[in-house]
Amino acid sequence: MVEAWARFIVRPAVARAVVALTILVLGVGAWLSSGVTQDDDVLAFLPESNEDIATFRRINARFGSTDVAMVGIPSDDPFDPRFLDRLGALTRQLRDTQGLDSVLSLTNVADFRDDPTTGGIINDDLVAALPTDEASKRALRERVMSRDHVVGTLISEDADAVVVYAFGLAGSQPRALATKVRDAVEVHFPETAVWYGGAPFISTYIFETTQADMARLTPWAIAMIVIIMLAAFRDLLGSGLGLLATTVGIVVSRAAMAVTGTSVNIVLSSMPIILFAIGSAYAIHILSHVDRHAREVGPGPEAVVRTLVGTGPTVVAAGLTTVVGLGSFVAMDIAPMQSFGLYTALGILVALITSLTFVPAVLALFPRPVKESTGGPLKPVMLRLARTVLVNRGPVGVVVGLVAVLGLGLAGSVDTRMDLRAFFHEGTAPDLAQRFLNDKFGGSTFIQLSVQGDLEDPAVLRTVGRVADEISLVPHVTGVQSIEDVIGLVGDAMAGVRRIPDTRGQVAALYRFAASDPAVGRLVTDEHDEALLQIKIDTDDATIVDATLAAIQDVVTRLAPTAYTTGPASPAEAAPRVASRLTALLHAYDVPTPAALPDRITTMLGEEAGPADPAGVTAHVAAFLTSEESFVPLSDPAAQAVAQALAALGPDPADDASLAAIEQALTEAGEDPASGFDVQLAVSQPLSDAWRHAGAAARVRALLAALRLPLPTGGTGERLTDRMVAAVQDLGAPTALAPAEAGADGAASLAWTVSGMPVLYQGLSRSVTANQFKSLGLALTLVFLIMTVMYRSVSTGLLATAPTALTLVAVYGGMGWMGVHLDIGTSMLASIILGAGVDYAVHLLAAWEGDDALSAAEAAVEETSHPIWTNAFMVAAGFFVLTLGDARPLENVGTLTSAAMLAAAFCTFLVIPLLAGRTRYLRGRAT
Amino acid sequence: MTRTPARTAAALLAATVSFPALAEDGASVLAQIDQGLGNFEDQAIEFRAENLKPGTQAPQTMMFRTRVKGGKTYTEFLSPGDIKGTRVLTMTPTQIWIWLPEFSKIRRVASHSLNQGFMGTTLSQQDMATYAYAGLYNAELVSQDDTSWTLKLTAKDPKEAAYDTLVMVADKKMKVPTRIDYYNDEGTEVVRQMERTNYQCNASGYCMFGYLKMVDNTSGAWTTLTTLSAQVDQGISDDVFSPRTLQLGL
Repeated sequence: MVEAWARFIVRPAVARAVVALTILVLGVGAWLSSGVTQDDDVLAFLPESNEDIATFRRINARFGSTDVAMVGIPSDDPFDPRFLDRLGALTRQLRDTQGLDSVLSLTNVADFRDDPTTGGIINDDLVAALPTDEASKRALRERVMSRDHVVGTLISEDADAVVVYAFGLAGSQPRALATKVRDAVEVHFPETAVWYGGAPFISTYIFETTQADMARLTPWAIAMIVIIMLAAFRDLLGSGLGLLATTVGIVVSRAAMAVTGTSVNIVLSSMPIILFAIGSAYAIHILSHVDRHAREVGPGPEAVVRTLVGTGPTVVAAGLTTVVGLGSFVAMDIAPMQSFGLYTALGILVALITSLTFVPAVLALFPRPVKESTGGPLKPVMLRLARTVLVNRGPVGVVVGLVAVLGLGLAGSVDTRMDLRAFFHEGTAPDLAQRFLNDKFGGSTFIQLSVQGDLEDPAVLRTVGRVADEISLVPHVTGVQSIEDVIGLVGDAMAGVRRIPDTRGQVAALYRFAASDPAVGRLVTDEHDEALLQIKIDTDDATIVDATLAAIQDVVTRLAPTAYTTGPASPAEAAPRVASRLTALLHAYDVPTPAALPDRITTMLGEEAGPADPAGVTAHVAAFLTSEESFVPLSDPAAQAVAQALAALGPDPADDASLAAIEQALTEAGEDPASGFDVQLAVSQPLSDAWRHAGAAARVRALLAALRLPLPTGGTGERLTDRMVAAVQDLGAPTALAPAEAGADGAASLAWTVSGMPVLYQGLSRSVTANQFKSLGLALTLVFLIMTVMYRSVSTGLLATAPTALTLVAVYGGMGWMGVHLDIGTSMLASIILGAGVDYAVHLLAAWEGDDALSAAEAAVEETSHPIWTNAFMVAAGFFVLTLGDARPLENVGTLTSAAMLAAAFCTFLVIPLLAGRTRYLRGRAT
Repeated sequence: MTRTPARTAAALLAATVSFPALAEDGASVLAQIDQGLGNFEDQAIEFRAENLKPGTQAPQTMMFRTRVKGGKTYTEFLSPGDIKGTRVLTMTPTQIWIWLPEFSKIRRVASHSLNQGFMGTTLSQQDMATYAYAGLYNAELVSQDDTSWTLKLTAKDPKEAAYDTLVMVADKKMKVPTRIDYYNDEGTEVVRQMERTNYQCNASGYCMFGYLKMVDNTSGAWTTLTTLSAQVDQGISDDVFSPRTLQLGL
C-alpha cells in the first residue's frame, strides 16, 4: 500500500497537482493567518479550574480590577509648585481617561482636619492650593508629612518621590491600561525618569519584550537553520524544500488559529522558531534518503519511491511522536499552553504531511544530481562510539546507570517557582521599578483578604480590624488597608473619634458618607456583604511570599471566626483586641514592639482604670459650646462656666442635676438661664464623648508610663497617642463576636479567603507541577504505544524510548544541579524533548540491520548519523537563538532544549548500541 | 454613552470663529439663564435619586426633600434607612452642617473639595449647590437657533470651578440649561454630561426640571434625579436654615 501511494505521488500529473495544491494551501493559509489576534493578558496563563482563580476573578468582578498601575516619580522637591502643578495635571488627565476607574495621587487625596476657630472639620484636598512662596511651601510640606496614611503611600518618607496609583475598571486589559497611563505620564513628565510598576506594566513589559524578541530573533533563527541545512546538504533546492514544508505547517497552524479565534500569546509567539527547528527534520530525512537511493538507482522518481517506501513509515512514526509530545499539552489546565501544544502539534503534522507529499513531488518533478555521501563530519566519531559501546557494554552500562541514578537524584530537587521574576531579568525596567517602589513605598505587590459576611455589624468590623492589625505585624507586610480603618476615619470626621461606632445604625450612616470616595469601592461592596483587606508586601521573592502568605493564613485561622453570634462585649474579647490595635500602632510608628508586648498590654487593659481627668472634659465641652456646631451661642466665660459645672458632676450625670448645674453656671456668667434646656440638649452627646475620651486618655497615660516605650517626639508622638486613646475607647464597645458552631441556631457566618496575584502564582506553581506530570505521562504513554505498534514489540518500544528517557533524566538532573526552577517555560521541556528526541531512536532503529550487532550498528550509523546530527544542530541552533533575547520565559527553555537535543542525539548513539539485542528491528523495510 | 471626540470640540471652537456677530453676547445670555434658574424666593422640592456605580447592574435609590432660599439649602433624607433622618444645611457651597441622628450630633464641615461626590453619587456638592453660573464662568455664545443657545463657559478662576470648560445648551424660552458637557483639562473630551428635561414652569415663569441625568463618561457611572414634587414661593422662614432647626427638626 505504501508503495502504491509512493508510485501515485511521483506521477507527473499528480506531482504537479500536489505542488499546486500545496501552493494554494499556502496562499489561502497566509491570507487567513493575517487575522490572528494578540493576547497580552498574563492572567490567561492561570488555570481556570483552580479555585483560587475563580475567587480572584470573582473579587475582580466585585471590586474592580485589582491590577493597580503604579507610577513612581522621583523628585528633589515634590512640594515645588511646578512639580505639583504637573502632578495635578497628570492626575486630572488620568481621572478623565476612559477605562480607568479612579486615580490617586498627592494632588487629589482628600483630607480633613479640625477647624480650630469655629469647630467642626475642614474637608479639603490635602494639596488644596499650590504654594506661592517658601513659607507656604514649608507649611504644605509640614501638613503633608504629618499625614501618616499618606507618607509611605503617596509620598516617600524622605520626601524625594511620589507615586500615582491608577485603578482600571473591572475587566480592563492590562496593556491598554498601561499604555494610557504611560502616555499621560509622558505628556506631563517627559524628561523625568519615572518608574512604572504594578501588574499591568509588568505584563505589558513581558508581552512587548517577547514580541520584540520574536520579531528580532526569528530571522536569525531561520538564518541559522538555513545555514546548517546548506552546510549539511550543500543543496539550495533541498534546503528550500525543507523550509517550505515547515512554512506550510506554520501558515496552516496560524490560519487555524484565526479561524477558531485563538489569539497568539507569549508562548505561542515562539511557535515559528520551534516549528522551523523541529518540523524541518522530516524533509531532511526524506532528502537524505532520496540522495542515498539516487546513488543506487539514479536521480528521479524511483529514488523517491524507494525513499517513501523505505523511510516513509519511519518518518511518519517519528513525526507522530513529536505530534503527541506537543499534543500532550492539552492535558494541562492552562489554556495558552493547551493552545501552544495544539497548534504547534498541528503545524508539525502539516509539516510532516508536506514532507511526505510536496517534497517527494518536487523531487520527482525536478530530480537533483547524484551526490557522493560523506556521512557528515560526526560519522566517524559515532561509528567509534557505537563500536566502543558494543565492545564494552558492561562498563558503559554501569556508567550510564550511575549517570541515570545521579540524574534522578538531582532531578528530585527541581522545584516549581512561579512569580513575576520568572518573567524578567534583574536590571530590567520592571525589576528596577519594583526595587524603587519597594524602597520608597513599601512595595508594589498586593495580597487581598476577602471577608464575606455582615459588614454593618460593628463587632464584625472590629474583628476585621483585629485581623488587619495582626497581619500588619507579619514580616514583609508594609501596609494593610481595610474598610474598618476607613469607617474609623469617617467616624473621626463625622463623630470626632477614630473608631468603629457602637451601633449598626451608626456604621450604616458612616458607610453612606464613605461612599463618596471611589477608593472605598475597592474595600467593600455596596451591599456591605464583602470586604477586601489590601495587604502590601515589600517582596516578590516566591519563597518569602509563600512564608508571608502562610503567616497571613495563620492569623486568619487563629483570629477570624467563620461562624459566630453577636452578643454583649466581654473583657476577655476586648482586651486582646485593643492590645492588638495598640501593638500595631506602635509598630506602624516604628516603636520597638517586643514579642511579649501584646500580652502585657492585654493584662494591663484588664486592670482597673485610673481616674479620668475632669480638666480634659471641661476643655472639650467648652470648645464645643463656643463652636458653630452648638446651636446655642454662648460667650467664652459662659461656655467655660457650664463646662466646669458639668465636668464637676462626673460621668453620666442625672438630667435634673445637669440642668440645674447649667442654669446656675449661666446665671453666674451673666447669661439667661432660660436657655439651659437648649444647652443641655446641645451638650448632652459631646459631654458623654468627652468623658469617654478622658477615661481612655487616662488608661493610655498609665500604660505608656508603665511600659516606658520610646515614643516618637513632637507631632508624630502626639498623633500616635491620639490614635491610642481612640483605640482604647474600644474597650467600651457594647458588642463582640462569640465563635459558634457552624449551622448552630442564630449563628451567622464569615468567610475569609486569601487571594491576589501572589496566591495565584502559588496556584500556578502547583498547576505547573501537576501539568508536568500529566503532559509527560500522556506523551510517554502515546510515544511508547506508537513505538510498540511500529516495531510490533513492547521491548523495542521501550528501547526506542530509552535514549530520550536518559536525556530527560540528564536534563532535569542538570536543572537540579544548577538550581533552575520549573516554571511555565521549563515545564514545556519534557514533552518537547520527548517528542523530538525519540525521532532519533526511531531512525536509528529503523536503519539497524546487519548480520550481527556490530554490522547492524555500523549500517545504522552510516545511514542516520548525518540527518540526525543535522537535525539536532538545527533544533539546538533554533532554540539557542531564543536565549539571546530579553524575554526570560524563553531563555531557560531555549538553553535547556538546545542542550537537550544535542544530548538526545548523543544518547541515541550511546544507548541504542548499549541495549540493542537484535540485528534488525523493522520488518518489511525496503532498502 | 460614547465619548464626544476631539474633533467635535474642535468644530465647536471653530464655530466660535465663524459666527463673528451674534445678536447677543455670551455674558448676557448667561445672565438670563442665571435669572431663570434663580427666579424664586424659596422652593421645596422632593427628589428621587437613582445612582449606578461602575461595575454594578442595579442602581441604588434614595429620596430627599430640599428647601432652598437665598442660596441656602436645607435637605432632609427620607430613604433608604441608613440615611433616613439625616439632615444637611448648606449655608454656602463650602459651609455645611450635618445632623447625624444616629450620633445625636451636628457636624460642621467646611468643604473646599470641589469634586467630592454628593452622598456617593456622580453629582458633586458644586453641582447640587450651583444656581448661578456667571459668578464662576465667563460665557461665549457659540451658536444659537430658534429654540436654544449654545454657550461655551470658561472658568474665571480654575481653582473655584471643578471643570475649566463647560458647553451649555439652554432653552431660549424657559432660559434654563437642558444639557451641560463638562470637558477635560485639555478641552478635548467630554468627561461628564448632564441633561435636564421635563421642565415644568409656573405662572411667574420659573421652570423646574422634572428629570436630571449626570453621566460620568470615564467610568460609565450615572445619577438621575426625578422631581417628585416642587413648591415655589411658599414663604419658608429664614429660621429653617439654622443649626437649631437642623438639630431639633422642623
